Amino acid sequence: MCAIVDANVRDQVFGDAQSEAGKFFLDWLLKPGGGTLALGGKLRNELSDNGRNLRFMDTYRQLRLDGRVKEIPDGQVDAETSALQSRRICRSNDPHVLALARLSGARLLFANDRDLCDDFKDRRIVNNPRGKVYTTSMRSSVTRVHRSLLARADLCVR
Amino acid sequence: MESVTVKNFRCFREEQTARMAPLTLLVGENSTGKTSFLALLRALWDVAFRQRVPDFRQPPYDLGSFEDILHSGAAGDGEAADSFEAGFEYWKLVGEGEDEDLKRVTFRTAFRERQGVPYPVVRSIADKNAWVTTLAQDEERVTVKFGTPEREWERTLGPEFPLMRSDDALVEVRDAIMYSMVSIDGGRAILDVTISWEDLQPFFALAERDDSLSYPYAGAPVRSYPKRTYDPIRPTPDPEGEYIPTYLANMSRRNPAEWKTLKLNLEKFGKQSGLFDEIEVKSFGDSVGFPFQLHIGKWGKKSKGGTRNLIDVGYGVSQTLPLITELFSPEPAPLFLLQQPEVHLHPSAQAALGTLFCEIASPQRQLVVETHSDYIIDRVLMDVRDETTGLKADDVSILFFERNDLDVTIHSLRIDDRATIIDPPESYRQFFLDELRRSVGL
Repeated sequence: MCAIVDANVRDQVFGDAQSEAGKFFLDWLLKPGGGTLALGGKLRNELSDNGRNLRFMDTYRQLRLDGRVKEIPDGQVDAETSALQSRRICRSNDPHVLALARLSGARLLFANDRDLCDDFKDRRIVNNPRGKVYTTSMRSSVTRVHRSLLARADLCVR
Repeated sequence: MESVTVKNFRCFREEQTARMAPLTLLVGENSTGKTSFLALLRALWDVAFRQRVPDFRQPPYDLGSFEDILHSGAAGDGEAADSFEAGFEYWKLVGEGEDEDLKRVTFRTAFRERQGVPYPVVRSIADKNAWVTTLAQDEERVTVKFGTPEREWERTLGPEFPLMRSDDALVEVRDAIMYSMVSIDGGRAILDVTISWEDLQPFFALAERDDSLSYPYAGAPVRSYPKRTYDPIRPTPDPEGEYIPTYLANMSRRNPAEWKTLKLNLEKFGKQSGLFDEIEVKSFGDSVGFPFQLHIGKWGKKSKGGTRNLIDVGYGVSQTLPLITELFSPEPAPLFLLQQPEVHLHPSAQAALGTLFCEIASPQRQLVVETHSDYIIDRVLMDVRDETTGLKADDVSILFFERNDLDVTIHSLRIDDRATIIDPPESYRQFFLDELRRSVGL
């Protein structure tokens, strides 16, 4: 399954402020047969903190060597972002994340930004299958919802 | 080589085929048959292109006797196997001038024990139009089969024919098929088979010999120790690169133009890898017979400084020098078989080697690299993704050797144009991911 991590939860997954659910997500990414991380465009720099977040860099490198990073060229993400913006249907100020989802086929988003989460579940923006959100905005501990989301195999467009 | 097939050889029991590319990286845990695979490639080259019985103990490999080489479990399934098989597909250049063409050819051989060592009793060569197989029945008789999709011929030849006492029966038979063409007009028909001019046509491409190809370079994982002063030796290639200092000294004295180019290339890699900035030969006389020293310059950020003897700089330089000299040689080998080129190198130099491999690998100069270095692999993937060299995704093959009980499976992994490895098995990076999980406290 292919997932996107939004920059606003970066430190919960790849930083020093790991939440229990963030740790659970990272564990899912790193375990054999685990998730695939979608990456490209502005999010690349946001997650790596311009190369300063070494935990992300290590994770990215190992996942890439294991064939589990779905990389989309920055130019394509930028173009899709512009196209989305011109449709004026996004409420959030992270259209690059939505563009990445559309291009990579990722249908699981780890984010706490309310507007972005709503956009991600909006069928006009992300569809077939509809996007699902993994969030810690309500609870940072691992819940049944978190577990069931990461157990799904269908949240990705092949 | 496009692919290599192996069965009952060392730890490879089931028949399996590995995809080869201009740059092929062999990865996997220790004792999973990577070095045996390299040894097999050279042995196949010996049988196919040099028409000789391969020596599986020729340095830098030593696979032992036939008994050591035959898969230890080959006697399974109730039936004892007494041979191991191997082969490869390759593109063969046939014809000349405007008629020049590339044909996909398959070479297969089977080894049985003779006097304790593996002997290639079966050899066959085929393309889509024709095939020729020789089967050594014993030391004096060979059965020859050859055919086209429409017709087959078979003949067993005895000791009255000179080719029976030769190790290159397949080539002689291929020649004989061509010779038979002459026999139509009254020449001696070695095979004594009536074959028309039309039936012979498909054999022409197969009959063209490949023996103009030079020999593969097989490097040892540990290269020779540096010396303060070298006495020139006969510059005969060896896996440890003992001859390399003399080779460099001779070139600098005898062929300044070639030396200038080689020196430039060596220094370019030296700078990229951070190993050295300058290399020079200090001779104690004008003749090639005089002793000499190799000196290395490592410049500071602001000043150049002088050079120092090779023995006085880091071990990585002397260990890398034989390898990069071979890669930059004016007459490079068509196939490089490299064992752990990263030994003694800092990660930055390992990564630079990855780029060098990308720059050098081509269908005419195939590199097969056994490595445990993530830095080499990662750099190769990045260079393909970023198109920094001419190497494309299809030009890279990663062979993952995975142990399953007593056997080893070779997984041929491809990468896409974003240099993402396509569908690797779950076990592929398990150790590294487990280490990372532990290091981040999971």
